[in-house]
Amino acid sequence: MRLTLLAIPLLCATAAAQEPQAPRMPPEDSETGINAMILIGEPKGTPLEGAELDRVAHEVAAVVRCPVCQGLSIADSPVDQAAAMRTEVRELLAAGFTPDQILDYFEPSYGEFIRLEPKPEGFNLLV
Amino acid sequence: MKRLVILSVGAVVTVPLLVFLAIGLQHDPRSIESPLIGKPAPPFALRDLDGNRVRLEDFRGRPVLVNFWATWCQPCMAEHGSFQEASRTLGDRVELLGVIYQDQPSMIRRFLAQRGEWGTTLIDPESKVAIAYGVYGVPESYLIDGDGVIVDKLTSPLVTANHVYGWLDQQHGLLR
Repeated sequence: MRLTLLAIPLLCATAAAQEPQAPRMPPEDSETGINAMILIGEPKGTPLEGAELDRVAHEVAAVVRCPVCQGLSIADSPVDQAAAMRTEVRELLAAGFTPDQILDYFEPSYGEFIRLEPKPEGFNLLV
Repeated sequence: MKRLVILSVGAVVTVPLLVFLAIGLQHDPRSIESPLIGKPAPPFALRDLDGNRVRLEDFRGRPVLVNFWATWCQPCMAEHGSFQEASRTLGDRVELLGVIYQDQPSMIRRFLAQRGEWGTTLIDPESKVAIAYGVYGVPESYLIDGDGVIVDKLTSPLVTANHVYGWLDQQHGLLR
């Protein structure tokens, strides 16, 4: 009896170790088929929620240039495209992607131009 | 001597700035080349107006023209007729995909019922595909070859069917 009682937690621990880890984000967006992981790999951070998500989402949006009104960040721009990008930023943060990964997500599509603050390297550093 | 040093320092600062400005002024400040050209097209799976799922990879092996458009976009209206004519002429030699950009499916249905359709019309919820393709506004067209690589992007409207053929064939040889 005592042996059985000892074996139960052991079996549970083994089963938990063998159970495949559920992905924190579906492999692709169910409505569009867009897959962030193709571009930026697995999330490297902790999924955010609540006030922390609001705060970090605003910080990230403040350094992403709005492609439509190019002098403004997506945090400040009133256009629909900026709103869509803010939604994307929130979704990625909630899925555990880091702010740097999110900038790396937008950059292949728009180029370094999408960063309001260019990376401090190479020619940028010289300028 | 002191004057020579001041002039030399001035030249070292001024000449590179002038060269930098001269190069910069030759470019259209609104025209930013897409970093996606020469890269694999971001895969997507969008729904058409009937709710069917359409995957970009379904068209591998033949060229695909992806046009982002909306009913509120005046230049897009100018393109509509050219894509209709190109669609009739080219048949299945090229796949024409119209991705709706920030517009209501009801508006699109009404517009297409009045003006006629071309290619496959796809709904892009939350503009996720537009963002993945680096869209700045509409109309924008992307040309994808049979291997799934983006070969060009246009931010100006293709106002006649000849512009469509020219872009596909003369510029990129995709109709041979």
